[in-house]
Amino acid sequence: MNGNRGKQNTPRKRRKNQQGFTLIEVIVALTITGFLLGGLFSLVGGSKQLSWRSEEALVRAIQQRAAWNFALLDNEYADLEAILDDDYYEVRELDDIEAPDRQTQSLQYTLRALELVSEDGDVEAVATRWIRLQPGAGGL
Amino acid sequence: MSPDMRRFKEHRAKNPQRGFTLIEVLLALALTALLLTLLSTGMYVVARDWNENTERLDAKLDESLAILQIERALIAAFPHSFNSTETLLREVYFDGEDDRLSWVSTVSPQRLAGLTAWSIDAVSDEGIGEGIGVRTAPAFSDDPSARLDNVETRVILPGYDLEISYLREPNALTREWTDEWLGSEQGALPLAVHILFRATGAEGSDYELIAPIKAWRHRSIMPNSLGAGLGQ
Repeated sequence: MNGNRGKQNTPRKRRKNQQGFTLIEVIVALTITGFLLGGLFSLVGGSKQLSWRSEEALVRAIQQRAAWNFALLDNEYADLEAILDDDYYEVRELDDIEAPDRQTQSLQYTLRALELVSEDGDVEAVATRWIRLQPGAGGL
Repeated sequence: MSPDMRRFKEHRAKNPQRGFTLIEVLLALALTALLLTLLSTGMYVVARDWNENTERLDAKLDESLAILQIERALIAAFPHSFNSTETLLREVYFDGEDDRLSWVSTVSPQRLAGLTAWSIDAVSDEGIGEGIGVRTAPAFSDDPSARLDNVETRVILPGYDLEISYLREPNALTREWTDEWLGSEQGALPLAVHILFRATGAEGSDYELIAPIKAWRHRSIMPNSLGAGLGQ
């Protein structure tokens, strides 16, 4: 009997001696693990976002080139049929470049500024193109 | 008992130092294993995802470069003319339909000197795959189509279909797009070429290019017998 009781007592006594982790320790351990995992997954998210953004930028660059080439083909006096499938970029006309005060001949062409505006409203590029003036419209 | 021994025994009784139980060790090991598994799985997911993104980005970059290359070759199109062996007339080599185009350009992918004949079309072949195929061959003073046909097709845009239009100016006030341009009939180059690359799969985005052909009105490089009165 005595021996039995002794055997039962020992673990109980040990449990009393045994010290668990304190709350602080557990929290610190969990936080560290959390930080590590969080770092990993933010890496995943970051790389994914980066690659999406780069892919989109590549597609946009091609679109912009097409829009730009189309804008330069369009010189107003010849009606140009629209063909571009994509309308992300829009061409906006700006003012004519001022004609010189003195001319030896009447002007047939004028330079007009234009800008390429994206759907978000950002101006992507600015340039000029030749516009043929209507007969009698320009010049002296 | 020596006093030393007694002191030692007292010391031990005061500070009962003991090892870990089996359960504790097992628990600790299990926890460590769990954490390690979690972390390495995380690492694996990250690495796989990273590789996947890199591959997709690489593919996209290749596509963009291929499109720019084609655009460049079209901008530099040349009114290459030769005497047709059938009709004995002088023909300009620029054969375009809505799904294929062959032309002669001053640029080549290998930066070769001299003129290069290009051909692009949509291919679907067991051996080489499905997509936009390109062939290039040197253009000498004759019809380059036979040499082009002998060249192996390279697929540069897998999973794409194409639709080509050509800009013509029937009179000074109109510019319109047609879906066919035969150099043998027109005797000149179109003003511009528009190509729509349509992605056939669910993934991938459509591309478009417009190539204004610089040589269409260049007097000094007009095709020999057709120089006068064309392209204004």
